[in-house]
Amino acid sequence: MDKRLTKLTRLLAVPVLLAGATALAAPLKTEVRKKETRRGIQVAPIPPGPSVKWSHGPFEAGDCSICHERNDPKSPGPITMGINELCYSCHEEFQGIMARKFKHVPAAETCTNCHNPHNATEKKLLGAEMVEMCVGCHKGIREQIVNAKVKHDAVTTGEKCSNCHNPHAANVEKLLIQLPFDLCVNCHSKDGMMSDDGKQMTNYKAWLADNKVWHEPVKAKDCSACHRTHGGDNFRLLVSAYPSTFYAPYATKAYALCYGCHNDKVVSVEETTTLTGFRDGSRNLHYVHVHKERGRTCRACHEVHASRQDHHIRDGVPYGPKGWLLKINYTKLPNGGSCAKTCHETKAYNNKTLTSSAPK
Amino acid sequence: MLSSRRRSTGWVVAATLVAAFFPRPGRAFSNVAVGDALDSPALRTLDGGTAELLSKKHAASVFVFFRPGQDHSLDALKDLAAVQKELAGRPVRWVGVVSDSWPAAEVRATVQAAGIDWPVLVDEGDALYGKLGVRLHPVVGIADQRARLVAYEHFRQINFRELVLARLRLLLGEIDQAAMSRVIDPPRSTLPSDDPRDVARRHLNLARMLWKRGNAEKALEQARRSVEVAPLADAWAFQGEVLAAQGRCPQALPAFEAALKIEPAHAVARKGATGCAR
Repeated sequence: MDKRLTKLTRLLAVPVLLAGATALAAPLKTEVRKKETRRGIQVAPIPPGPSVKWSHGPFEAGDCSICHERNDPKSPGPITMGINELCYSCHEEFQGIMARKFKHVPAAETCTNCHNPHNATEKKLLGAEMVEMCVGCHKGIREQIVNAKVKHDAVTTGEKCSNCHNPHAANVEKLLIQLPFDLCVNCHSKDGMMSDDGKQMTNYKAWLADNKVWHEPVKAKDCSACHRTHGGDNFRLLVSAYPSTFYAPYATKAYALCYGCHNDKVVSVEETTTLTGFRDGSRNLHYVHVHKERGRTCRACHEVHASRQDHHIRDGVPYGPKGWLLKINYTKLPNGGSCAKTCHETKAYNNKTLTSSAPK
Repeated sequence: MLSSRRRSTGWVVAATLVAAFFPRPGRAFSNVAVGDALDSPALRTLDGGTAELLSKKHAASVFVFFRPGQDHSLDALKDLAAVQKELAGRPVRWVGVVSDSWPAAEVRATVQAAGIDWPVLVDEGDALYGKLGVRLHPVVGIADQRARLVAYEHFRQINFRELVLARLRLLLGEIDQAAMSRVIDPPRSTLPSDDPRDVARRHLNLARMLWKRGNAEKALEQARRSVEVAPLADAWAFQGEVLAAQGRCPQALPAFEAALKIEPAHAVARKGATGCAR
């Protein structure tokens, strides 16, 4: 793990542990202490020292009267107008920024909730290290970051929270700078990226350009439908359970991720004439596949992000230690489809008939 | 003839390029596409009555397939209740649709938790679900007064409420297609430091405040910094103004000229240059 991440995790772990069982039992939601208007940062000048690396122009130049009544550093007197009004008189672009639909309440309230108007140890005159400052209010996110078994580097590297969020105001919910996909591909569009468990990660721009049948959340640019971006307990930061292996015995709860949107009955009922097109007569072929001796997981046949074939059917599956591609050879037919000999003998299904066909 | 063939070749190339860069469009419900006419079956409701799927009395009919005990359904219903509130008084009719395989008590609990007050239609044997080819939960269908499917939205974590609200406003004629496109693909919410012109304007604004407080030299210094960051006509013109006010026209004139080079109609620069030239 990144050294900075380790340091941050330790830093964050202390107050979380001190908070005890109540905090640990709190739901993983973005909780904010609504009544706390002052978020606790120091607004007075910090005494000079090696850690004070950032200074506001007017303060540095000794121009106290830009904001205060008097140009006397020892006794500048009160400020001459409202804090945000004062800030916007130079930082005029904020009038446009704060007109966006989704506003960060502390920013709309007063800039000094997060920024020291004089000097700071952090860039942008933040009152504390960015992640520490954000999770000071967003307790649920703090817990996700600290407790996550699978970490997401985007939270703690580069611009940290600002990699994805505009802490002032945004055109997208959750103060996202763009829709999730547009943010994710800022990083996940490179070849050779490796995950913490040593697996090669997909270059999604390349993959999607090559595979035109996109899963609905991908089309909607809604990566967070399936991935918990601040960190989580499931592999690949999945929001809920999904088997990490190719074969797994079927259990509805093992596919909580898929059934967050899809109907579990599509797979769990043996006979249907309405729930799925992947049926031979009324014999539900999803049921047949997952209830084999070694249950096939969804990925055995479906490509979760994008595929070349309809129904997100994948071209093939990696087989053997060298990842040789075992072709699925699916063909869509007017009354159903067929899979040519690979996993099994060539078999066709007909979903236009309504009578149950005998198990084969 | 030749030019017509060239034109058609051009269209084929353009279409191929478009096809290469965009995903294949979905069909909304598996068996019904946007634009198709819908049937409006009368179904039993959760409270023991009967209601139709669509309403001819309303400009928009919204029907929501959901299931109890599912986080996304509950979140979506809460979002939709907020949309309904926001569109209060508009001719929009809302119904929920739920499979008869769910116990009525569970459905009622979800309805109550979500705070919706719509009729909930009970889909016997998932017949409507199968006929439309629903496949996902929750999904929202929006039909116009002629029972034509005009929009289909599945749940999403981000901007779901905004999207459904915009779809309805588009159907009601409250927004245009351009506004709808901005909801589907919102403009990037740039951070303040992204644009050097913003930084330059900050220096210029500080310069103006310093000038107002009688500190000409510091004001000029900030104006100089401003043009170093980005070439703003306003900043050059301000420099000219300050210099001219100090009686330093030989230095002010090049500043006004620099402003006019960027923005030939800049009023302050033109006035200042004329004044200095006299």
